[in-house]
Amino acid sequence: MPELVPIDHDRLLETFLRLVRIDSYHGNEDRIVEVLEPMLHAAGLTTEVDAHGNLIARWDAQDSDAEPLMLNAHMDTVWPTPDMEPVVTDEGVASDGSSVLGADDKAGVAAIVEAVQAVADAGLPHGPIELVFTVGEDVGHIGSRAFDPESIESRRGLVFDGDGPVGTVVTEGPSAQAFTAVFRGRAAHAGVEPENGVSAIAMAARAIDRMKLGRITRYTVANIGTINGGQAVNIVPPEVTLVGQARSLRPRVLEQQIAHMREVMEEAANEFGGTVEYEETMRIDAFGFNQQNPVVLWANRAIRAAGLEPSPVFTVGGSDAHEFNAKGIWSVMLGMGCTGAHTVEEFAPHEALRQTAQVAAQAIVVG
Amino acid sequence: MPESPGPIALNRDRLLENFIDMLSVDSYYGDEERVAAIIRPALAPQGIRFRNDASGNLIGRWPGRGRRDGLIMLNAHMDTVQPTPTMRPVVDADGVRSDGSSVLGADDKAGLAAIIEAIRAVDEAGLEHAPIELVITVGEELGHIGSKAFDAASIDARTAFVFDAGGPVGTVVLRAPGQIRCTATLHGRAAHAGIEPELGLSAISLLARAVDRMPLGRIDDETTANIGRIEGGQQSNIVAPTARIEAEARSLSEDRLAAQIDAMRTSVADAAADLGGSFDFEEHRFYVAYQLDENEPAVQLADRAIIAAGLTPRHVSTGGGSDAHEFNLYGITSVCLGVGYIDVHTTDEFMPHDALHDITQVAAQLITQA
Repeated sequence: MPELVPIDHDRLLETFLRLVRIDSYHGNEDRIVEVLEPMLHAAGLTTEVDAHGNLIARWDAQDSDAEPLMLNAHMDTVWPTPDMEPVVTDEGVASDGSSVLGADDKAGVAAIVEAVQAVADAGLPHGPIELVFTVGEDVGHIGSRAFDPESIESRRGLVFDGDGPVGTVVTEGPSAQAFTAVFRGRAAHAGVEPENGVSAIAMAARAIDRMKLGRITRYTVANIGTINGGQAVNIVPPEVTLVGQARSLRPRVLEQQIAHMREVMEEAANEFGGTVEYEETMRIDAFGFNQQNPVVLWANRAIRAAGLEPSPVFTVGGSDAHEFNAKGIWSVMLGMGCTGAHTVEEFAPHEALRQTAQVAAQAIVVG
Repeated sequence: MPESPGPIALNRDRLLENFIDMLSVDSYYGDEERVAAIIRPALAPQGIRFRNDASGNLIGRWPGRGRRDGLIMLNAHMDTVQPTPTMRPVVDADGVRSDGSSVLGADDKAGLAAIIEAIRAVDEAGLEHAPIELVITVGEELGHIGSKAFDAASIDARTAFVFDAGGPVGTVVLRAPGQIRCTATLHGRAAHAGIEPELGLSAISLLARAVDRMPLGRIDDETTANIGRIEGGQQSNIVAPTARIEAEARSLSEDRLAAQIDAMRTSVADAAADLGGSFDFEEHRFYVAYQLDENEPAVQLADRAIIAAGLTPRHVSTGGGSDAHEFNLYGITSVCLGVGYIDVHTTDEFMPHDALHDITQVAAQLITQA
């Protein structure tokens, strides 16, 4: 059993609070880079910012034969947090209610930074480590999607951005498609000549009413997230836009669900004499690892070394792990024990922060 | 009943010039004073002194010549359906059109130009005429704002001619619909659409069910209904907690209008009940239906004026609203007349020279035959 890397709980909390006080909504991640670079340099890492704003840090091995490994977290938050002041209690850290806390994903960033500081302080041996702190994860994996896999050597990674208690290993992620559908009819004065108009609202309503939505199967979900259309109340609406998505761990089932949604939209448009234009706006491909995959075994070793029990799960969410996997960097996502992500109730328990940092530190030393 | 004086000599150049002057100012609601500033000096030589009421309507009186009876009110509105900040009217051999940057605004500046030139022409010709009250309104396009706020007791006339109907000159509106506008909001429950959609209830699904069950479009020969706007949801991965529509219904029959609004509310209530959500349904009266008898003296006067102008009266029902709705509601018998403008509320709006001349002749005949 490898020894437990001594984590500095005070420094960890201080780093975390410093990070969540910075508004780093997508476009402002450089504010986080400015804070991280000196800390990483002090621990002996070199850093570089790639063309997309991602921060890459490299830490040479003492044991040069070991395989290089990546740790990742993202620097942006789901909403801007300009006025958010974190509230620290005996149990953990909460938002003041003005916005999200941003533990998603600054808990991951803080844990990784504390891990390298702790390993460096303890002078423990480790293999080559590469840290990738991404931009724009919450607005569509922008940083990881643009990331050049050749800019690092690692072909395995741990993504510190998961739901669930620390110990959770997300080994399966879904395929997903997001889309925009624009229904087009014909405008007409609603009082004088409604028979000359074709209502795009009527088409969209019929399509949605016939659409299977919500939980389709255990592994498949679909949603129409927004609808918007029409001009003025006295004009037959010529255009309506839907934004929707579907996800499934089973790519074939996803294709079937998307085909179903497109079919009912086409049908409804035809029935009213209008048209619908479907545009795929995002696609991610599913990943799935069996329990013997080396990246899963690495995650499990790190979790056990931190004194916890690994628990494999699947997710229906998208993440940077999808993008890394699509680029050939096998990555699993780790649960961090925070709750209420994407809401003002977001909460980071002290215990979860410490455990996450411990797992990250053990991941570095167990290799 | 006064004799027809025959065709009244109009100054066509002055008519067009005044029309162009008014089209060239942007008088969207709130900026009607820019048009008022053109109207006041135009009719000052006739001794008409206008006052503004509290909502900005321009109210004036022209005493009769040789007549004290036959008082009528003439109305047109100063606002346009959209702002026209950069629009320059384009004049060709056929008429006046917009440069394409916005509507032209012949709706309703053609009505204003007709009234102004008619008064000038009758005055210059030294013809006998009835006393005239002028009520030039603001904010018609945004819901009859000026006419709704107008104090009917502030004028004496109980007969009015509203220069603001679609259709060729000669059109006389005998029936116009009532309209009710409504907003329906469906409430579901937000949830992460990927992780726990079963905890949510999509307000977009609720609303889609309601709309798909709702009678819309042409309901019967007297009744129409439309959903003009729809919006709902937050983002693609959240089950939508709320969604709403803005709708209207119109009918020449107030009974059918009430039945249609009931049907729309029932569709919303049923969808909410079927799927387990809740709803709000708000309605407000936009205007009340009216109907004029063909034998009404005001209608007969309109017919005489149209015939004297060399045209044929056409009695119609309309689907649209106008300030005539509000004046009729106040007990001022109001006849809305076709101005001859074409494709109003679009950038193709067009005012033929002949129509502008004809509607001005109708106005002049009304003044002399009232």
